[in-house]
Amino acid sequence: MARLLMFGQIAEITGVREMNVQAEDTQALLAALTEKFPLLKNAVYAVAVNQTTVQVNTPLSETDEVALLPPYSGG
Amino acid sequence: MMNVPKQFRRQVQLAEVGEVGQQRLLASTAVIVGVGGLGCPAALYLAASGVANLILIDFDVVQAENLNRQILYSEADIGQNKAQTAAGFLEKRFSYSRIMAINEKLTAELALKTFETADVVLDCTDELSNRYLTDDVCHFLGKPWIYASLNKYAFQTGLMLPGKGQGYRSLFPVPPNPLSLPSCARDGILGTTAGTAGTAQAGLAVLQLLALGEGNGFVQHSDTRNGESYKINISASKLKMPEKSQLLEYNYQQFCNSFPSL
Repeated sequence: MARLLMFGQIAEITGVREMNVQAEDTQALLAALTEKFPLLKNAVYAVAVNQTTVQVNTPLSETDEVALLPPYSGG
Repeated sequence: MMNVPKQFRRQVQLAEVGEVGQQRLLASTAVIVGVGGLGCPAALYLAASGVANLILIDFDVVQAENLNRQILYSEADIGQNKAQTAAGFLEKRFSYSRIMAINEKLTAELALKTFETADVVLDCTDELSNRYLTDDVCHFLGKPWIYASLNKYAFQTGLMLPGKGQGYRSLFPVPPNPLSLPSCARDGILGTTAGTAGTAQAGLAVLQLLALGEGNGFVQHSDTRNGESYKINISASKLKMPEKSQLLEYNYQQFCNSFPSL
């Protein structure tokens, strides 16, 4: 199972800051997560696998760590 | 240590800094966009570190609600322009400081003119549109910029290198609904959280000026409540960035309101 970390508004929507997830790739992971938490549909966030951003669908293995980072705004 | 003023001795003592590094800081120019909760500590530490040339851009005036975190201002400054008040404070305190205060809102024209002369740019505003504008202008000019923003007890800081495809647009190609974003005015903020983030931002700028920083763009998330931080490297994207002519006509406000409807 891959590890999923969530920050800011994403963690507020899901109610947790981390969870274990079973998914073949990032696209499947985000689709399943969005189905469970429909508010994520309109959320904007960067997706990182093992602490590096990914712009395309990325296969996931058991040991991978996925992070969802939304933009903050306060200054 | 003959050529460097005494006040920088503890920095010069660091082998990686030395006199050469300190001279480099003294000859450097930093642009700080927004002299609020992030910009006040950032400007104070940059000036104290010997970054002698600062350009401060802010059209806003000091309000009583700012004073818990905007530490360059006093109660007597309420109603005064932030950039000019901050410049006066810093110039009085640091004799070597040469500060230009610009009492204007950031536009593409102003960014192109001021960033051109800068070694590093700090976005210390609370406006998303400024971040995309700064990213695009820094991409065009090949300049690094330092990012920070706040969300209640947490904050993000980072090094943006849009010239290498590792900038804010690479991180967030699509802007979020601005109404969904937390803000200090709506959600509140501890003065110390803003101070920590702005100081970290100044730290990244100093390291960048000394060429001691990271060579790649990154963003770091820090939570002040549990001390946890998490770093994410920004992978280079081949995103199409606006050209100079497009920059001047680009409506950043409109772009930031172009989120998919709810």
